[in-house]
Amino acid sequence: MMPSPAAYLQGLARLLGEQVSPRLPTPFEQAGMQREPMHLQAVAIEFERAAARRVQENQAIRHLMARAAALPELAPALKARCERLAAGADTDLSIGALQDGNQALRAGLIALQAELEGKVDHAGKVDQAGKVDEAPHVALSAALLEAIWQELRTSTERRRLPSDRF
Amino acid sequence: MDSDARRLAERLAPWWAQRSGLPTVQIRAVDRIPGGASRETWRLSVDDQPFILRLDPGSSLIETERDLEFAALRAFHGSAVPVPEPLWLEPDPSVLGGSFFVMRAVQGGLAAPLRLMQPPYVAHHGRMAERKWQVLGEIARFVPDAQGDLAQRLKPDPSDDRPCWLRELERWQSMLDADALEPQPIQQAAVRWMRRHPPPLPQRLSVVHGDYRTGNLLFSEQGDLLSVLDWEMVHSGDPLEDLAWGLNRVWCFQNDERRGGLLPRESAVALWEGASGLRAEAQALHWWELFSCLKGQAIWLSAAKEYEQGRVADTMMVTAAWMMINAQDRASLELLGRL
Repeated sequence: MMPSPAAYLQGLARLLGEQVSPRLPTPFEQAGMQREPMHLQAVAIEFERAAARRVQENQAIRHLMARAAALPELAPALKARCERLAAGADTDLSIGALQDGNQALRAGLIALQAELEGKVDHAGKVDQAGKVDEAPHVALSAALLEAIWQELRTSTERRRLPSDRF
Repeated sequence: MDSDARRLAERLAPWWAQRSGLPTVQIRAVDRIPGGASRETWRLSVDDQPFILRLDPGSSLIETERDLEFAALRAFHGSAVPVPEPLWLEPDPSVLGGSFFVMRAVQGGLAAPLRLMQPPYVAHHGRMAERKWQVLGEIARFVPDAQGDLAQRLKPDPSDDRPCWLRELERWQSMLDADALEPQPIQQAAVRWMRRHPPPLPQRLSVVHGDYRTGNLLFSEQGDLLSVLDWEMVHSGDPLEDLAWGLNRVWCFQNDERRGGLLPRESAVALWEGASGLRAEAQALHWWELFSCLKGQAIWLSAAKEYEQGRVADTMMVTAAWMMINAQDRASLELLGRL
């Protein structure tokens, strides 16, 4: 598509900010219109990166799911879910399909992270039978948990916009 | 006046005459004030006197109760916490399409945070910050008249024995779960952390403004705090909740360490401690700061949903969602030591 969407949106933002907004009859309407250039800038950035960031993120989470599926002592239902998610692929690169895949993966990530937190929190604690939980899987769970936090941090980098407050 | 404003003035004039006891009134100017995503705010000139009208819209960012804000203004008016003088509450939606109340306008002030970061205000930031956190301390100290509307409205439900932290956590988690259009792994991890590490019980239960931030404070060009606005989320709770909300990273309007765009975190906390007579214990304040991120995120996600589903056409909802959702997640990560 030429001119590029980014160029068009930039032109539209200038038109709204410089020509349309001053002609609106009330300060309320003017203030609303003055926000639009910022929205259009965000749309232009998102248009460019929308597929790439979802593909990157889906791959990263599938990799985490594959690591989780190989963990010993993962609850069977969660293990099956991780295996299913890890085996997925982004064959349809439309944004809607990528987003659907992303939502399934992030929902799975929430369940996995909660399960791993339980395992790591329980580590070193004495159970009712007087046994201390020092299973070797705890170190693997802790390492995977760290990798999930790293991915969550990276996920906020992928989504950043110039207008972000922090 | 545009057509919406003219219609509002026409419908309001007979109601106003009846309430004020005057035979007729002249409503000369009606302007909607930008901002106010959960309630429409209109500036009026009635018989050449300035007033503010707060109107419940058909749909809002946060479901708030109509009479609660009015009760808060009545309780605080004349106290050490400056608020506009409330005049009349009208619960009947047949007058203007939603319940509303009228208050006297406070003249000569500005509550737009980005403009407050510029001259002439910037020369008075020290004074503004001092007053901001001192007045919040005064809110924490305030004891409403036991027979007044506010105390009655804030009475705890005897059937609800949850500590205030759990009540607030469950309230906002429910809103987040109901309104999120996509999974929220960072906020869900924060909720699990907050449940595993509950805060100590509050030093005292107090009135919590619920949305105490620079954008809800009216400052003069000389840096005087003229009025605390937007009491629609007022409730009873731990006063640290208000302190933490004001310290939220997403209110760093100068993109630096100055919370609310005015003062670094530790200085703000010290001012609040001095004014409130309370201690902001580090672990407890940390919990409430993380909670403030959950609450913020629930609000921004609600804005996204309202717009996405076509219930609200105001692009303020888009601004709130696009500027805040990712920033709020990053603020949570920072507090969890994961950024």
